[in-house]
Amino acid sequence: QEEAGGQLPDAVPTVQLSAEELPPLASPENPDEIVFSAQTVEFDSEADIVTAMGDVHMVREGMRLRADRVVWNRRTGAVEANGDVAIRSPAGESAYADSASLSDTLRDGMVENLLIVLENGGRLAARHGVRVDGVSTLTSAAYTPYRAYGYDGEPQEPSWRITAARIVHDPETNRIRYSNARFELFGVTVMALPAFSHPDGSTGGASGLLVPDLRLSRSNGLEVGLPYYLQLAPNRDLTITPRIYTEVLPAIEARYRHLAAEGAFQIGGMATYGTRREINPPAGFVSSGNEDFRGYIEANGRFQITPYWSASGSGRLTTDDTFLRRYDISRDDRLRSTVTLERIGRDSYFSLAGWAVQDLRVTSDAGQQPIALPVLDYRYRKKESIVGGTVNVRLNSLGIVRTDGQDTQRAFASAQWDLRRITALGQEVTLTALVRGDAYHSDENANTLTSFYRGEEGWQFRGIGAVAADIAWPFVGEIFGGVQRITPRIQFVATPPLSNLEVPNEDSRSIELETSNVFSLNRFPGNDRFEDGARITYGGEYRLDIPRFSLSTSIAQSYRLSREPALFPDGTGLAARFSDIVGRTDIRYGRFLALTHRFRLDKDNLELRRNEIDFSVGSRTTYGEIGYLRLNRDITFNVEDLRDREELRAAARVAIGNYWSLFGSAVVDLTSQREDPLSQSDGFEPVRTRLGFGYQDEGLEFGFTWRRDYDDTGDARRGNTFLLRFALTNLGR
Amino acid sequence: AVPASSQSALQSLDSNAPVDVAADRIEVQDRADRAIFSGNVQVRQGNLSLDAARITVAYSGGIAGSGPQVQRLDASGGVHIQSPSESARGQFAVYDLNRRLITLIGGVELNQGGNVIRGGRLVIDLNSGRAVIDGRSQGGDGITTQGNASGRVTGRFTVPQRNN
Amino acid sequence: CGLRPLYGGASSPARAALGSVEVGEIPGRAGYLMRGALEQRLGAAGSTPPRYRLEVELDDQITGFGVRADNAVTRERRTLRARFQLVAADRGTVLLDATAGADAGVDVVSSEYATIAAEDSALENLTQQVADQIVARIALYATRTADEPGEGQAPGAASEGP
Repeated sequence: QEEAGGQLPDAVPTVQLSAEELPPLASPENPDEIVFSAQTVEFDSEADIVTAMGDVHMVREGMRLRADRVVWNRRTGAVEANGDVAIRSPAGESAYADSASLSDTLRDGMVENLLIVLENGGRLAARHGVRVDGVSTLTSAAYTPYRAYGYDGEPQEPSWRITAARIVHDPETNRIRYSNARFELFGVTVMALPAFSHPDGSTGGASGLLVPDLRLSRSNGLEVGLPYYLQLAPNRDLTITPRIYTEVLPAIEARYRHLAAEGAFQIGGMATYGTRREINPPAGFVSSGNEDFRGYIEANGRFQITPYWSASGSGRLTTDDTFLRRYDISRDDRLRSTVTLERIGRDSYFSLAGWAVQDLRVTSDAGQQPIALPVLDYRYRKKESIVGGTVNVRLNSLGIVRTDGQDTQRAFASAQWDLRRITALGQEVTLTALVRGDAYHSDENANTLTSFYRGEEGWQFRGIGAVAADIAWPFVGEIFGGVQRITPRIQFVATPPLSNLEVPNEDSRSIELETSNVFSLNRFPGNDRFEDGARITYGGEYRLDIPRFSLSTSIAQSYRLSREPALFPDGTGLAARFSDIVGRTDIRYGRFLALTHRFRLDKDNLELRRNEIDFSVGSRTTYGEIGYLRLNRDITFNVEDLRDREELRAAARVAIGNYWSLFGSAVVDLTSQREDPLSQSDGFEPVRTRLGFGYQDEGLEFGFTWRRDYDDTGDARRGNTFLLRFALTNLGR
Repeated sequence: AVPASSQSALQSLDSNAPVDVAADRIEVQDRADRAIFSGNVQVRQGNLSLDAARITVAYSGGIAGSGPQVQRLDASGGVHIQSPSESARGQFAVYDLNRRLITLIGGVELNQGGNVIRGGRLVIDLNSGRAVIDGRSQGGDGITTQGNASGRVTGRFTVPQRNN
Repeated sequence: CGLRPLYGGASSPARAALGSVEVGEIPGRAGYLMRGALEQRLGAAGSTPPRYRLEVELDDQITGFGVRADNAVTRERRTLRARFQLVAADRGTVLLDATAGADAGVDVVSSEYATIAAEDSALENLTQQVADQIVARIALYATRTADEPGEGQAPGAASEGP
């Protein structure tokens, strides 16, 4: 057995074969025929030898051979090819060599100074190779995923390769097996691999160990995860990942994925034994033995049953509030589960859905969290129906159940008529009329904390009517070699007085006046509250598009004609007759710079009630981003919704050379006590920072991330977490 | 089916065998020792048959003497050479009886027991039985034809059934 | 700087172009709403036999931020982006390939269903805003290509509005 790795064939033929080297000769139907083309062919019928010279191409049963010179003894079946030999199998794998002696099946033979390029780009180079029935056995060979030449045409040193005394590649089982091999990283032998095999990547991977992930965190100490991928069938696979920790008991994680004809679903979960702790125990964190079962499960799937009907669902559930944070699985604080049955037609939409949520937030009370079942929404639209306007009919029903809170049922039917025309002067005029009837039923209303969410118990009915006229007049003109556009807009809406407070408010709580909804018919979200009285909303949009630069800004305000007190709580910007001024500015300079500013100005003192600035600069690989949010609504009523907030988010990435990169990000909670008495931060409180570097080339990826959490939530203690990621990409997976 | 690797029948062709020619018209240029046959000319020698639209026969030893000795045949116009084991087709052909060489030029196609070879020029050496086909479209003596554009030889060989 | 109404005059190229655009299929709930909004705006200029087809691809994301010290997310932003292509109905050539986008902020409240409903209302408003941007962009394209008649045949006179 030759010495492991031996002297590697330095003269590995770095054949730069361009695509047209092998013109697509049609593979003959008759398996016993060889089609060929060459510059010269000599056929000695006496000795039955065919000699072809000059860029010879031969094809048999999909196997393609190319060489400068081929001598084929038809009696013995020996094919001698030499000079830039290239053999390509139908599976897409190509072998290049100086010379090769093959059988006339073109499939088997013995080859010198061989380079095999696998279908996924991986390369096997060897001093000597024998191929029988397509199985190549290479001696003193090496495997590397790297191309001989970089994109810039310069010869490139492979970052890693595996050298071995013997490598066997079997295209049937799609595996490459090494015997006494060595793993070399950046030229240094890192690991000896006595026996090692991996899929050759042509069938999308087969079962096998995946790359382990390492993590060092303050909560769990050192963590090692060893994922094992099991391919049950081409469309079904299972990944099982045992995780071992130094500070806590091991855990087992599994994920099953299934692809069916009409859709796909996946189900995953993790389970372990540990110490479940409530959020802030009076006596501080004490480990009371590891006898609590902890874990989570999640599943989602979507099935297109018929071209119209589809069913989809996603569910997430965990055993306790801090499990996901403690084991660093996810930072989500509300786990939504939903099931939806949808029928989408050309002009009709039907959906029947159910929503439930597991609230992991510290301040929440699970009993109050609503389960919404069933939520039915049916929409039908008919164009050109009444006087040329479009009618949208909508039927909706909602059932809210709370384990120990208010239960509400609601059903409404509405018809909205819209007529939109462009006048001769170029004005876009939209006339709208809406009529809607609601029916509510609720009980245990007293359990709702915020009084004006409750509504009256028992049956309540409400009728809503609204008419509106909206005129927008876009003007356009050339300027600075580009186009500018000014669109003044005015809207008048009138709604008779409504009984809003008598009916419960389940879905109109998250009130937010913005440029996206200032011109809506009802500035409340959801359907339980409808703005009444008459109002005028006016505003304008300006847009400038010149090569490589675009600026667009819009601004709007509304004035309530009727005098009686509005339904909106103070601080939402819609309480008084004049609303706050809302606006938005977007500036783009090529792909290099983007600034978005969303704001709401107080109508009296033009103070910034809401100020959101998002700024990003740089290219795709080297960029900096800043996100600033300040909500200064000083809402008068004391309910835990619509709190004030101030936050700064920053992230940056710097590409160094074309493989290395440095990245960092930070989230800082700037909310001061004055702004939000409930806030734990005192004005400058980093929540999370992250810093790390990464290396990535076509065959190797590794990265190191240091993440610091500044606050404990339950048993996920504050402190540092170090993640190490190392992956040999293109290793047949 | 014809045994694929059979001997080429052309090899046993005796170039001195009598050559009989049939044609619609004949024009004898005795001083140039030449006769030009035209109009679906058919030449037979032993088991070789050569058909063409026009054939010029060059011979030595005058028409009267001990009978003409055919030196060379120049055929043109849809030349078709036929022997029991193969058939070839081309635009021009030169059959040099002294050197026992048949050269076929211009869109040549050689059929030999199921094997098909196409190229620009075919030279069959009757002494060794070797046939050489290449993509060049010039004949030995400067006859040029438009061979297939790529100047390549293409074809199909059957793989003989072997019981190994 | 020569400002003039985008849809001004009876034979404005923008008005004629809008009337002859047919909206292609857009999958999903957002697709249904977007198609309704687009057809309502395009129908405003009367309807002539379709000479253009509008293909729209939507990307709808909800991101959370405003993270409190105890890691609770207090704000969400729903971003609806559309990549749209205006295709000549007869020759199938792509005349216009552009993107449009809008986003809306959602305050995360204690009742999760209220947040879900607010996200849904945000989607309805966003489809209206993105439809406005798409239609305005098509009108602008029609106006500019009408100025240089070389490209594509000049749109014929459209049927008059109300």
